[in-house]
Amino acid sequence: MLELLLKTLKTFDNVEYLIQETKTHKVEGYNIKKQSEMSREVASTLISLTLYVTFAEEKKKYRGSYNVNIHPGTSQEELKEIISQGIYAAGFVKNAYYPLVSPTPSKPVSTKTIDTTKALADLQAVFHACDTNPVGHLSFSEFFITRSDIRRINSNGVDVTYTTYQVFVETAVHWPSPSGKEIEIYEAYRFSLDNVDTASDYLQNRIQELFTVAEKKAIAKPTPSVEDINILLSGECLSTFFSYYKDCANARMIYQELSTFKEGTRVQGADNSDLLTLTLEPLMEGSAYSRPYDEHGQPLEDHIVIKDGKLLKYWGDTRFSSYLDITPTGNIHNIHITGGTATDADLRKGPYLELVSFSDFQANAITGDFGSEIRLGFYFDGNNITPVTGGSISGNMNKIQDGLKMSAQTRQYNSYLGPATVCIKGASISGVEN
Amino acid sequence: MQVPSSKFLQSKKPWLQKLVTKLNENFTYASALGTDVMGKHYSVSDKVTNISDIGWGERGFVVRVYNKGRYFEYAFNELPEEGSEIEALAVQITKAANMLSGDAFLYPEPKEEAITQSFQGDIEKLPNTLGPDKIIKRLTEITENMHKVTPLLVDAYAAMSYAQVSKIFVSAKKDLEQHYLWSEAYIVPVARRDGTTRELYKSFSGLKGLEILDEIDQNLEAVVQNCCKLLDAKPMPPGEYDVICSPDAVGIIAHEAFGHGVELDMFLKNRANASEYMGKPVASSMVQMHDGAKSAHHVSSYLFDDEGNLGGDTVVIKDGILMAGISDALAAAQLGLAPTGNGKRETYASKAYSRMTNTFFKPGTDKLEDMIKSIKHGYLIEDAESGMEDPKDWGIQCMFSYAREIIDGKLTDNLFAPVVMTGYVPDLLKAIDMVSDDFAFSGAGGCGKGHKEWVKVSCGGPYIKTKARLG
Repeated sequence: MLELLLKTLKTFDNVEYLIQETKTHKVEGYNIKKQSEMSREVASTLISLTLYVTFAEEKKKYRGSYNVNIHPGTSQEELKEIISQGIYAAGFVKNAYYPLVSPTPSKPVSTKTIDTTKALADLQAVFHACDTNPVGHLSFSEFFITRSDIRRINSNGVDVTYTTYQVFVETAVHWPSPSGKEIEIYEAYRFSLDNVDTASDYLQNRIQELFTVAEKKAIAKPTPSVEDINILLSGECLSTFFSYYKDCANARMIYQELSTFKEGTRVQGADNSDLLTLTLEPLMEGSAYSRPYDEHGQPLEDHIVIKDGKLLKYWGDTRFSSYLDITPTGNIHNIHITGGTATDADLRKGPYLELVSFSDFQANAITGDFGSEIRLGFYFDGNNITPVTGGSISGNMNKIQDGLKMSAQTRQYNSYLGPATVCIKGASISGVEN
Repeated sequence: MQVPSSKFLQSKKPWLQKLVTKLNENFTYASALGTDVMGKHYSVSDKVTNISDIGWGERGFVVRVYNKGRYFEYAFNELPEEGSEIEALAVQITKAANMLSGDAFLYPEPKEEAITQSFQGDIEKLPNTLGPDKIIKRLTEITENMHKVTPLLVDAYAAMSYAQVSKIFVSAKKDLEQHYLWSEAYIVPVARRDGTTRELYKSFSGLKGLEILDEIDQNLEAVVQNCCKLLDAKPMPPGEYDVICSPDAVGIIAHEAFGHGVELDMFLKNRANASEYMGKPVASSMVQMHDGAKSAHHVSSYLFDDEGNLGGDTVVIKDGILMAGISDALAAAQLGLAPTGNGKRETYASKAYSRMTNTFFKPGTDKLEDMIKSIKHGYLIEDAESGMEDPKDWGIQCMFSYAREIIDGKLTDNLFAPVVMTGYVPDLLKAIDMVSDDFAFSGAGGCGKGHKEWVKVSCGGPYIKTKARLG
């Protein structure tokens, strides 16, 4: 299909385009407890074509675009019609002019091949071997192992390819509470399949953690209503929490005036807090989103965006970077937050509420609001630590960030590598007991 | 105007039938679903305009075979040529299905009734009858009109998407076709003052075409003004309150509280507390809840689901009593129930699960003004943002854009934002003591199962009055 599309594009004069081809082979295993529920296999090719036109009005240059998916089996006549219509429609999309990515010397990319069918069997075996707890058990699991062969081609001469392997696992632990009723802790894990042994170790550790969380949730008391207390956030929610800073420093957010971050200014922290250092790392080991090129074919490398609370640079793709007249970094998913200064003992001095599991922790980069229902936390009243559940946390990043303390210890959750725990003040806890 | 059928699927149907016939030589059951979902997304904001294919677009096939209690599925979108290559694909599927080994959850042999049916939806204005220039112009006017309401907006966003859905399903006994179109539109004003930024999202959706854009005009000014009022919103003081939930908020409560909770595939995994409450009270006797492709005329109304079962109308809660769940074919077979036509796939490439369609609480007889008058101190909750299910433990998380304070039976202009509603589902639903005679549906966006498998659903209801924990 790709060859036919390229051949057809050549029949148009000076057409500008970007082609994003993704060939996917996915193997899937679905289990109820340790029994296989269903097996599936998916083979697909997705081609996304973006057509560009350049035009001028009142001496100002504009760039129009039109995106369409090209499905396998599309005939050359149909392709000609799609391209003609796309070029016509792009003429009504009046965006400020921007260049397309230009070719650069190709980057060395991994050419390893992993047997996904065997990897699926191996990971499921490792997973089921974890299910030996005499009290709780894994109620279900869904495994998805995907090989993606990705190619980006544009009319400027960019033609890059790379392959990724990704694992996605969904599961839940059931654990009886003292009343006899079972509780559930659900979790989903996404990570890269760099090699099966590393992936197996990672999965094993996460499942063991999940059993611990379930055991504590089973005996958890209602979350108390607390005010003016240190709130500790631990676990995967920190990926969302720190993505706020990444999003606010994004060239698109700046260009659209949705973010008020300013290059060269302090965007986080005060004298008594830990200061944030945020690095974009496109090839972070273990992340399912690691890649050598972005979706436009821009080669990617590490960039320190925020250092010691100060915004060093905006980051973004070629289009929005050109609008701000900055060097493009490309679109990068992975964030590395440098560990802070706090030890475990520092963070847990005095009464605190540590929240480790949420229903769906969300943070809004435009308003700064964040919040979620609490699935598991630990309340320390100064004497005892009690597992707690229920209620919610809500707050605004602008009001809590100046007092931020970050653990020196770091953890990785897929595309997030950073402090394992942060301490915030000023968020609101809606407890179950009022 | 009738939604046209997919020429692509029409041309591939004989091919798909041959593949199923070939697979039937080796399997007691074989079926195939073909999908062709095409559509466009148009958006305009102050500085960025976009035309792209809709994210819900797909074109491909999934084949399901049954072999000695086990199911295997193969999904693909690259088509082999006629003749020998169909045979090669059948051999490949047969080989993969026969390789299944190990301890398995065994299903009873599928039984099918012979059905041949087709459905073509009707809408007022087909989106492709208006050129891209006119749609972009219309959206641009909408953003300009948003700015005319107030100088406080730093951005105004307007978007419109549509999906023309075509599906065919073939098996030894079934020959089904459906072609319909849904659309959705959004406006999102972003206001800023003194370093505080607020955005408000308002959506419009239905089995409609371009007429969806007309609905924006009627709501534009109020949405922008509410967004500006949010600049003065205070944080919600945590606590349990008397609340009135708008139809938008009620829809998401119905969806999260008992929609996900009665997906019968969750019963098989012992992941739904509802399995122990069938026939028992779970809500106030004022609550009547339905789900089904045929229970309403909205974005998830179809003739047949993604497993070839006809859509239905399931009474989930009647007079506060939990009556029934919603099922995909495999969960229904395992539980010894008839499928309800709720087997839905994210795309042809995904597994079918028990999923919601159009989920709602039925209206009652109360008047909204009487509901407001009955509250000494509480809140009117409006504009749902998102929710998360917890079918095993019956927790609920719903995020709303804002709540409006009610003092001494009167609605004030005091806004609180954002709002997180949490609680134990039966407590929330049993506390319902008033249900209004209003009714509205919302079907923009999508519904995930856990953190994946996004499908199109709608939800809605009347205003309800209950007690809820807010934060």
